[in-house]
Amino acid sequence: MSKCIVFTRASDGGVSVITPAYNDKIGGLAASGKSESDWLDDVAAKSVPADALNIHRCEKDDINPSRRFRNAWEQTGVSAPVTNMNEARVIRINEVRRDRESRFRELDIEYNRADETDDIERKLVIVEAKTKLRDLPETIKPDLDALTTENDLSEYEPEWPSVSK
Amino acid sequence: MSGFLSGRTSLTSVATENLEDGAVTTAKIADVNVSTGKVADDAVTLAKMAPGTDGNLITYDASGNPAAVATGSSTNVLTSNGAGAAPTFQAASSVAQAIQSAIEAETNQDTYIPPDLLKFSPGVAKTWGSVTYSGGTPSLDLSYNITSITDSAIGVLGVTIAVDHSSANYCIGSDLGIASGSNSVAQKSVNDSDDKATTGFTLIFIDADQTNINYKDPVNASFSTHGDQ
Repeated sequence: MSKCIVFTRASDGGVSVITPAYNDKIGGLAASGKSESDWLDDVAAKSVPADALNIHRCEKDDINPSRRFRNAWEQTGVSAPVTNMNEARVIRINEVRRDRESRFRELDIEYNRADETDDIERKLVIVEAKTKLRDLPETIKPDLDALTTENDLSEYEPEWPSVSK
Repeated sequence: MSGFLSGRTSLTSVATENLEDGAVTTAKIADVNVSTGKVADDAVTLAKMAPGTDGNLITYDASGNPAAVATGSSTNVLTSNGAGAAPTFQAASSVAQAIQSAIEAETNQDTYIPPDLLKFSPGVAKTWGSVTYSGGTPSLDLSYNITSITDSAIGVLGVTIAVDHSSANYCIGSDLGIASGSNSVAQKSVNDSDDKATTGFTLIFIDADQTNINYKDPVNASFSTHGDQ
């Protein structure tokens, strides 16, 4: 079993997880000839920033096994990191924003085609779809707020506005 | 016998068959008559040689006569003294150990580099490591001169060096792996100003598929650094 050192960065509040080089050829635990505790003291002295907060040693297995919402990890004290679900929802919304870009491009093409044939009715349908797409990050917020697990949040897929081809 | 010598004053010839085995004694052979030709090849064994001083070697002196090379002292080596002179045992000339600065400068000098100083050559990596992304935080599978790695966020990997570089002007080489079947290629870069110091550096992995810069974890990554310590 190997240990990690977790801390909260003073600069941005993010969580960093240090993995000591247990097997290093010249500075690893075996090469050092020290006890694991003393060796980890050396690792921490070298690796942990002076302004780090909530410095905590834990087993590697205590770390969240999923990196799906890694950037939403936080420490709620001197403890292993947990996922801040509000931050995770922000990540998921940003992913939706990123994914809708290609859908905007598709609707723009459809609009141009309708414009070329002066199909006003279709143009109105496309405009409505684009508006829904634009508002999607806001409209899905209640759905996301209702999700309480990382897995549910990860699997959530919004109802994408679209028009017939 | 008297009949055999009757009327003769001297014996000038005796047929071999007329000599008894062992009849010719040493006293009957003049020293001068033991010529080189009378000694058969390979006939002179070690036991037939005169005793000498232990450790001496046989050589030839300036007159071309056999002579002994004095034994010398322990650890001495046999040294040629050139044409016309016998060799002698002498103390071996010592080769000095190279120092770090000379190794780093690749100075042309007759010194030797012991195993523990070989790392100072400019062509030798000062650090290296192999990282695997699996589970909650990346693993450092194997490394050299690394204290730790730090997972700061998706696509951001810090590396802390054990024995620091002497300046931040060193070279980082790295490689990464992507998931099988993935059509995205994560690129890497190092922010020179903030993320590269004598004590370590930060690798940043970026999703090349995206128009905007999005950080992304690779499946694995490896790195090394070259430069002075």
